[in-house]
Amino acid sequence: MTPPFDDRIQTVSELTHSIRGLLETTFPFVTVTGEISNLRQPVSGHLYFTLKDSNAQIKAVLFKPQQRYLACIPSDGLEVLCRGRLSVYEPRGEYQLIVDYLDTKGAGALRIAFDRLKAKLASEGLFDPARKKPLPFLPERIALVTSPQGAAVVDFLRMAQQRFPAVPIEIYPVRVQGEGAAGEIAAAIDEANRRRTSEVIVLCRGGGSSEDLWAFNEEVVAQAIARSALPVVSAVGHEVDVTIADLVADARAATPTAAAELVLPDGRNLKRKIADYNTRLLNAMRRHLAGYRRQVETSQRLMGDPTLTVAHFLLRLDHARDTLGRATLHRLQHDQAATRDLLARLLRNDPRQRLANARLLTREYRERLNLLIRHQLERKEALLAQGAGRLDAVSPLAVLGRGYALVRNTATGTIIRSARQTTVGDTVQVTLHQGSIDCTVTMVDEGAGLPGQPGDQRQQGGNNNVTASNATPHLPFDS
Amino acid sequence: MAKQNFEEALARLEEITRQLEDGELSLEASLRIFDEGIKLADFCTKKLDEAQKRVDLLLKKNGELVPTPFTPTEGTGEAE
Repeated sequence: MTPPFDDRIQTVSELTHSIRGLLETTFPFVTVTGEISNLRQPVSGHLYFTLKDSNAQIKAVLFKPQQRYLACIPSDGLEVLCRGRLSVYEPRGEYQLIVDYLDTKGAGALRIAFDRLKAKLASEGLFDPARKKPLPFLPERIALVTSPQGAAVVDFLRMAQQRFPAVPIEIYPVRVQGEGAAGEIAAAIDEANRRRTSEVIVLCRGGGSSEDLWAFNEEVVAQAIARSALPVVSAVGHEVDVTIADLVADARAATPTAAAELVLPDGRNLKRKIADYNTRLLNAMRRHLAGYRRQVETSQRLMGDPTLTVAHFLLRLDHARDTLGRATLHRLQHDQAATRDLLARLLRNDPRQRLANARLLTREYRERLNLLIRHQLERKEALLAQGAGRLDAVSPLAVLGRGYALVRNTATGTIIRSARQTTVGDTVQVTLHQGSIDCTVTMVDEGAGLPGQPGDQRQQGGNNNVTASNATPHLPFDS
Repeated sequence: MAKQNFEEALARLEEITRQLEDGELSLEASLRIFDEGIKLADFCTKKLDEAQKRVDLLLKKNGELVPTPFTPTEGTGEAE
């Protein structure tokens, strides 16, 4: 990790700060062995020493809080295994090892046992990531399996208090090292599962030597963790101390403090988040309502004054009612007219009426007929009268009136027009204007007769026995 | 809201906030979820503000585990 070339002029502080950052990020965890020398403990209580081997040395510090977890008491000349991180003490420009934990070298037998159990449990699948249960986001309650006296429980509770004070914690007191500790730990895990008051189990123990942590490397604890229905968080020792319990647990925290951070969400963060949601909800709702109000206002504008609208509707209603009235009336009138018409037609076609009409007609015809006939008769009468007059004019009787006579053969009745038609001795009938005379022919003169003297004729007549015929005509009709 | 899970409540609150901000909802629906959202926010806040946590030490008495109030005392050693 080489920093990029930088020709910017830096202050010593800036450069030192950069170096510190570089070292801290590059060497966050180191394990180093060496011999303690120059050990000193000022009033602060921190332990300062130099860790060295035959060729090099490195300054080291063990702060006071960490010393609680130590299994051995450091002393000059002691060969130790240190775990920690590198940093720079800026005021002096010195880099140093900040020791989290140190122990005497040579825990050989334990290491072998550890490796053997680890292999066995691995083959049984106890470390299988698929077995790991998820942790609840916010547990209702936390089961803390730990020693009630000790720094670990204090660290855990302090962080829990910081993160989320509202979550209750129940402590299952156990011995965390020495004879019987593993059994107690396993029993506590089972007990927490039986009680089910908590939603997560935390195994907690501060740092210590390999021997001190040994209970967490025993199979009985591993199996108890494996069969736990509740998720188990292991926080044993320090970052560098990996125990079997850490491997089987559903989650591992480097320290008790880290365990509290793991099982509890950051309450302050959540509070901010919720407050933020609250604000956003309110704002969104306000926007919504404002939007709806605008919509309503726009609609109102488009609709116009609602009271006017009502008035408008009333007018429309009135109009409709009027129209309806008129239409009804009109219809009624129309129907009445139609009815009247039909009635008239019906009456016209009344058979009695027709009969009366027929009777009337008959009488009329009869009168006309009589009239016509009378006229006809009158005309005929007139005609007859005229005819009679003319007949009268040509009537032989009229001639006879003028003195002429009609001569007929008495025997045959033949009109005698010529003397030759007679012979002497014949009897002839002479018809006069008044009466007739039967005469005997005494002489026949075939000479010219007329114009003789009318006296001749009278001479020849003389028969008083003239039959006078009644010549008065008789009319067929009498008006 | 009987026994409600804080995480679910928070997730629902997030969902509701997003929905409301999207602004695709009807007035009724938005009022309804707004109401729900405010209730959820109250619930979550209450959950956060609940009084000081209780820390109990489970002590065995006559074979039963009995919770007793616990005040940590910073000891020097780990065991006992």
